[in-house]
Amino acid sequence: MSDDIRRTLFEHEEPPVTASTAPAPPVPIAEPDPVRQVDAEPEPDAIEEPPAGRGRNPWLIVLWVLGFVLLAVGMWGLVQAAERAADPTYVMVEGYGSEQYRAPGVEDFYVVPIILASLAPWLVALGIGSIIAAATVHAVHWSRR
Amino acid sequence: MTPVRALFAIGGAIAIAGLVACAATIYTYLSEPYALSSTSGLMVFYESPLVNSSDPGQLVQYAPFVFGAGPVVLVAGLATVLAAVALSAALWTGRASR
Repeated sequence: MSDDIRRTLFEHEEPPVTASTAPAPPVPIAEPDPVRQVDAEPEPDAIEEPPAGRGRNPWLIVLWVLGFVLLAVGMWGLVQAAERAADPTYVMVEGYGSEQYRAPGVEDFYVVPIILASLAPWLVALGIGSIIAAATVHAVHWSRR
Repeated sequence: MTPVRALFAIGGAIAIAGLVACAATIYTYLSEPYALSSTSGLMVFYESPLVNSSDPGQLVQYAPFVFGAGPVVLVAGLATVLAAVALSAALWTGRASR
């Protein structure tokens, strides 16, 4: 084959690629596929079951809340009982401002102060006991970890 | 019924019994005033509207109020319920109990 014919046939042909001049093929960067990630089954080593008893303990929350509520109500009752015992003569009339007073009824004078004085110390004791119990349960669970 | 639930039920029943006892004591006290007497030494009040709303202006006398065993029963019930809550918190494992 003459050189003219060869040039006509192969003028657009790329020069032969050798191993030394060949550029490295681009490394495909793997894009994270959310669907594939969700559907992909995790490896057995990655599975980590939450140990029993490590979540939020609802009874412990109830115990904390009850403790503080009982303590607050008991303290309020103690204060109210002391105020009523200090000045049982007149009772402020609700809804008429702080200047309006009326003569106390038997409920104001005898019943309510006795109820408050009877129950408030017990409520304070129960509240403190609940808080101590909740702290104790926390301590026991902490020592088991 | 588990023992903890039984403790809840017993505590609730005791607390309700205490509440009923307190309410009964208060109602009995308010509904049985003394007639006016200048020699009794008791304080004079208007009759309580809680038990006599028809004649609220009537003057009567009341002896000092004395609570019975109602508050003690009520507190015992509350203490039992709190003990059940504390027991539930201590025994809780994170799994639904049957």
